[in-house]
Amino acid sequence: MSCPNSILIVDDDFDLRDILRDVLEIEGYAVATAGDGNEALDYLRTNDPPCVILLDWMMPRCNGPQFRSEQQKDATIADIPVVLVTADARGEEKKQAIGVPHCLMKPLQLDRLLALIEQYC
Amino acid sequence: MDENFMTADRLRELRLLDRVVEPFVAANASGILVYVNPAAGQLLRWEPDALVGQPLISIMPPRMHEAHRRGFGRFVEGGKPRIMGKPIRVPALRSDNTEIEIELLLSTLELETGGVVFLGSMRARTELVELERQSELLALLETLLATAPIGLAFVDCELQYVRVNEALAALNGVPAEAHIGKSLAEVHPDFASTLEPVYRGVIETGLPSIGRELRREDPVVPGGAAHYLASHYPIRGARGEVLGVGVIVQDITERKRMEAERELLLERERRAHAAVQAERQRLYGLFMQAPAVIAVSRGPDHVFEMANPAFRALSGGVDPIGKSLREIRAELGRADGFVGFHDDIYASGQPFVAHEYPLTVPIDGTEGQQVRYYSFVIQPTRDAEGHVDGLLRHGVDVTEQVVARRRAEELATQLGNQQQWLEAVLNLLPVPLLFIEPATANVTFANVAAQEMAGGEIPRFVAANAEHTVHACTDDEGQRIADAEMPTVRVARGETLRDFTMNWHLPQGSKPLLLSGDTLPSMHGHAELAVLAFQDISRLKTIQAELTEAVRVRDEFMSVAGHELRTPLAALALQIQSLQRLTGQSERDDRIHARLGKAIRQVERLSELVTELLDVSRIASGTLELHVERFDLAALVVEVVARLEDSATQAGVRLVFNPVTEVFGEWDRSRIDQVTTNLLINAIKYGDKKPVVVVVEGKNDHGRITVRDEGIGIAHDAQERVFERFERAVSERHYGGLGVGLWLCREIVHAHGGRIALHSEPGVGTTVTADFPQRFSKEQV
Repeated sequence: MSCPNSILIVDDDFDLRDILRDVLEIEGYAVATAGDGNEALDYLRTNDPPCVILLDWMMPRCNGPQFRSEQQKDATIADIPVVLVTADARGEEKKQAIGVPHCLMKPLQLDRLLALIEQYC
Repeated sequence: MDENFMTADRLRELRLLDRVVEPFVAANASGILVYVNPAAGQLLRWEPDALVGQPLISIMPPRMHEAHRRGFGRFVEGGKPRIMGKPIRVPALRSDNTEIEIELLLSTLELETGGVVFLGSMRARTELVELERQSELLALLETLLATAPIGLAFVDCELQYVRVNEALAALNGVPAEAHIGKSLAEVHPDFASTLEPVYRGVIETGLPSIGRELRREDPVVPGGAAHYLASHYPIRGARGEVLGVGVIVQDITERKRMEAERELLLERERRAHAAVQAERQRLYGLFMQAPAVIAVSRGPDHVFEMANPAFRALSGGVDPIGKSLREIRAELGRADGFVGFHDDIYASGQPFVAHEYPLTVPIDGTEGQQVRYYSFVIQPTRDAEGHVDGLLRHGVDVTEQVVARRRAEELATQLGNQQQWLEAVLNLLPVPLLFIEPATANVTFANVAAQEMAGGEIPRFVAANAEHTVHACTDDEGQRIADAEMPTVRVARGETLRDFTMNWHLPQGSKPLLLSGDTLPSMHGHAELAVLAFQDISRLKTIQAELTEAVRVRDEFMSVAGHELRTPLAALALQIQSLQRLTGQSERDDRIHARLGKAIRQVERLSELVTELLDVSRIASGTLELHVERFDLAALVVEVVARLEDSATQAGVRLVFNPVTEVFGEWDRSRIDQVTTNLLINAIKYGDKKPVVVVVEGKNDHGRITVRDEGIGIAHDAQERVFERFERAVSERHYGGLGVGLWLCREIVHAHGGRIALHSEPGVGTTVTADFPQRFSKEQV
């Protein structure tokens, strides 16, 4: 069972991660953060699953696609929904490449982000 | 029944004898003639009917009457039904009381109609003698026919063989008996078409065909030809009618062969004779027309017996034949040592040879004289014992060659001077130059600049290909250039080189070279020449490499910078949006909310600029990738128009777009979106608050977007460069942006294999049209 109103933010940029957590917490969500794919996998394997993961594409050590590959191999976390967040214009292809239904472009439109999160939480 | 007379009916059978040529008479048992056929009438000179009813003794001499009565009585009393008597010779009495000896053969004949008659067949003795004579003649003819060495035959009017002798059978290769009753066509299937007209001609005209020569394939010797001499005669019957054709055939094959051999020999002899004649004529013609001076003299007095026209011309037109050299010189009024000179050659037997010897000779047709040069030989001739018996003079006029050689020597001197002058000029040039001989690829000249670059003198007249060059040459990829592809060899074989690049590896280091070369045609006495000019482009190469690296670093920086800029922008935008959501409902909060909204728009604008920068670096580094999918262009433009509606309203521009039809195609959705957005943003920006019309259509397998504004337009001289990077047609102070919008549009359209065109009139407006093929193909791109 996923933890209600919980979100995992995976992004290597500390400021963006921090602001996003502030904003979402103000909106009433329980937010956890990870600086790359490895941290995210560690978190997911040791905590209750969040409602949704906001996943950056480009990160050091373990990037978005690598995280996604590992997630799909691990049946215990494979079903957790993922929303791709990227600064690149090729969001649509990236989204298809890693098999996630939604992609948000940086800079983020807050209204859109909240509306999308509401679908999962 | 009266036996003396027979009725006509009963005699009808005897009438059959009317048409027989032998004389017949018939008598009844009373010795009364009951029938006389016309032949008998003719023999006895009686009308046949006059004799019928007369007693038999009417046709017998009186001295035979008594014997007849006895004999006839015995004959009748004998009563034998058939008597086949021997022929008996008896005299017969004619109507004119003359007698004729006949041979009589008696027999009895039972008539089918009843009764018996005695039948007498008569033959005149004289006729018998004739028959015997004819029989003997016939036997003789048969012998002749059989033994004649020539072919004989009789062919009837149906063209069938009736008689053939052995000689003709042998010629035909068919047994004599196999001819009989056969037609010409049956006996000679291959030859009948030749023979039949001859036979028919004889039969139809009644005229003989004498001595006709016939030729056919030899029926006995396969592959050989047989020749015949044939005569055809009409054979006539008693009344002169043609009964057939007599043939006499003589085999003349051997004679023909002999004739042909003789003709062949004669022809060979004629040809040989003609060849000898022609050879003689040719030699004489050569002698007479030779451009050389030829003359032969005999004896110690040098009496001329042969001299060609050239010699006569040299001798001032004097006819030398039969004259001594001394007489000729006297006739010419020259008493000099010329004769003694010839005497010496004659006496010594040693030939005299002279080259380019000057002789004063008369000018043709004038009184004047001129000096001409001759190369000649005076050769002693010898008799059978080896003693000198004459002199042969043979000389050639070499004046033209002497003059030409002297002229060539003068020209060579002049050319040498020119060459020195030219080389001095070329040595002053800073551009390295080589002259190359086209036929051999030998370097015939290298100027000082070329020698300096080579670090020493380039040896002249040495082939300048790779084998003979001490320093190797490589192409831009570092591969050694093959001999045949060396620039020197290429220009030597007539190729034109323009901006050919290679590396020349010298002991002092490698030099990148830029070479140009061509062939100079022969001119002013100089032979054809290949020229190769080259330039050291080391510095140019260094600068080019530095520039390429600078561009690469810049593009990489822009890519990284673009990405790095976006992340803080994202955080900033998120922060502002979050603050907006925290504002309350007071008037002061409204003002804060409005100001935060303006801040957001600035962030968005900054973000768009960053996107453009990223695109520029991606396209410039060649990493633009298209993600093609099938979609409706009109629907996409509807979205873009809707998205820009607010911006257009703020700029006072009305966007007009009425999609008429769907236009599906295979394109990159986000990139086509980008092109449409850029075109519309430009039209809004420069639209001068007037409507902007957008049209989408499908035409000729292409999708087309047209954006037309009625704004400020673009100056004609700027229309070309608006598609270049960082270019704009208006002052950047009045209109913002990086100046990459149209460049991006063009690059994206080209990446789709399409075209973009711009038509603009300052003060009237601008129309931009972008065409994209509806089916995407990498080859098109």
